[in-house]
Amino acid sequence: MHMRNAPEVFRLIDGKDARVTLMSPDLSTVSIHPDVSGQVTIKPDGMEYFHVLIARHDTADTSTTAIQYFHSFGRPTSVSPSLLVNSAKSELEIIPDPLPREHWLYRAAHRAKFIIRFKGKPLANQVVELTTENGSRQAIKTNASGRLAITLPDDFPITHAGYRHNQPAELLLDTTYTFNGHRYRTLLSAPYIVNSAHWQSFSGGLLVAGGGMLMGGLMSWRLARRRKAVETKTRKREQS
Amino acid sequence: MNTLPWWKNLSVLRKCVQLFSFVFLVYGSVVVGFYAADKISKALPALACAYDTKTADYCVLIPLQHQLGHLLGPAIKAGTVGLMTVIPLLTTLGTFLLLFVLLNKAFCGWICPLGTFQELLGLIGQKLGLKRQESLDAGVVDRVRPVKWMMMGGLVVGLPLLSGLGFIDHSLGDPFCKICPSRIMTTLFTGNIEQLYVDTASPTYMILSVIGDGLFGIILFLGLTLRQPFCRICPMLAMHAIFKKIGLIRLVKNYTSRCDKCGLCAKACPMDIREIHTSQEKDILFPDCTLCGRCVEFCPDKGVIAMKYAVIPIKVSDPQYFKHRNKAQKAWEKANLLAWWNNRRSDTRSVNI
Repeated sequence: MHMRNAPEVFRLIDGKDARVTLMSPDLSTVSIHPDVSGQVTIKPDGMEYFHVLIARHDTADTSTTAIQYFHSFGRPTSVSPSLLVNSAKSELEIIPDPLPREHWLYRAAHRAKFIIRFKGKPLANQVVELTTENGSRQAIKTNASGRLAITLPDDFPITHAGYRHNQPAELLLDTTYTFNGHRYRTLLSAPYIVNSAHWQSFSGGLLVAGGGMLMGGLMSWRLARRRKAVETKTRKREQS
Repeated sequence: MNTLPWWKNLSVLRKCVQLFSFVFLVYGSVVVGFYAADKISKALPALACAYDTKTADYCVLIPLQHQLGHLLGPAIKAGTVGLMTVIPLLTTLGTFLLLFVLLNKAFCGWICPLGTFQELLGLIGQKLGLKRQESLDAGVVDRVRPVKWMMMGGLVVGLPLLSGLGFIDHSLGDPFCKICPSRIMTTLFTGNIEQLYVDTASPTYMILSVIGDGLFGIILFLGLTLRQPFCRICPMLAMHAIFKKIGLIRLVKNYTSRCDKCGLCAKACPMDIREIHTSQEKDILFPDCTLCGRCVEFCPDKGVIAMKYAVIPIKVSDPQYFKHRNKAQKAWEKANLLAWWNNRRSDTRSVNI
């Protein structure tokens, strides 16, 4: 069952002294104060669709931003989610292209696309590191237009049959860029779920559909035979 | 003029609307944008198929099942039925009814992507020269007719509600979607093969997925030789039939004694509604009707059958139109691969001789 009014809880890792901001679907922002353990609890603001949690920490030579998108239920807003996704949240950004729908979280063994931008401009040949809660790690480079496509690792150590019986894990994209001697680091974290191919068989589906086609052929033949018999009977009755 | 211009041919116009609707409903997000399609679907859930990531598909059945299974059922069980339980359900039904008042059952015959797909299959079958079953005999039609009500009552309302009330397993929360051939067809058209599967998560899921895949296969073949095989059992048809009196599009008949000897309207009907021919009533919008308008096109008498929008006639039967339309239909049916092959063979033989 959807817990429509349940608060969303996040935990900041190594986020001491970070400033935390919540951006709502209408692009309004509000500062959030984590508790002593670094936990951030966000009560529903009554607005439907994607919200963004932004944690930022600045030192003299480094700016670090961690971003996580999440979905909430409520009344729809008139602001396009594209504006939320593309609005500047830090100098260096990893932008999901696009964000998965509510029922379509990032999935293991599926392609996920992102755009890397620095001060609004795409960053070509930028190295982005992907790490997952399940222990996978890989580095990918953006193309000339700053785009990145990754096949998410199918790395859940134990999978149970059915989405309901598998907990999502966390993936983290991390990239760093130095400009004028200042180091910018940005992280995007998101949940990803197990690949359904572990319990759903496409070849099985194809086989059953093929069987269905054979059955359709048989039904078609029987219906034609039946119709012919009815027509012959009617003709005979009319003749007699 | 001897031939019927295409813009005056109702079937051609309908096919243009169907093609446009198919592209819009199957690839909706490409047209309106990914997030916009998602937002429209969320605000008005009757416009969405949750399984298709590219679409703004129109299907009231998935939100209906989910709201019965996730909201109403548990609320009844807990004794907490209130405004917050009823409003989503009313929004779904309200969206459906709004479109229904405007379109009536024409959704089925003019817009539904699965209806269009089945017509495409029929077209392929006809062009291949397969022996087509133009109409089913009355006995089969009568036996098939109640199935749509069983699908509606059992799969769309009964099982989801029982699942929400906790009487049966949660895997029966949206049983119609699990067997819906449109889910498989529309996702395949977007290049996604993930909806064609055998699910081993539980015996219930396995049975439902096998039924779904099997049904899809049956329709793929049966659609080549039989008109609209799935439409005859679709719960959407039953849903439409419940509200048919409030729709603005009407199908009316001015019965004459000539009707008794004719019956071309019933032969033209892809849903085999023989009552169009036999009825002496004014209102001939029967529960199985998809408002395709073929009965109006193939009625040879002036003003006997008419399709009206409220009181405005959209299409009225006309002998001149019938003559041209019938000629065009015969020419269209004559042009098929088998006929071409037979002609080619006989030509070759005559050259050899």
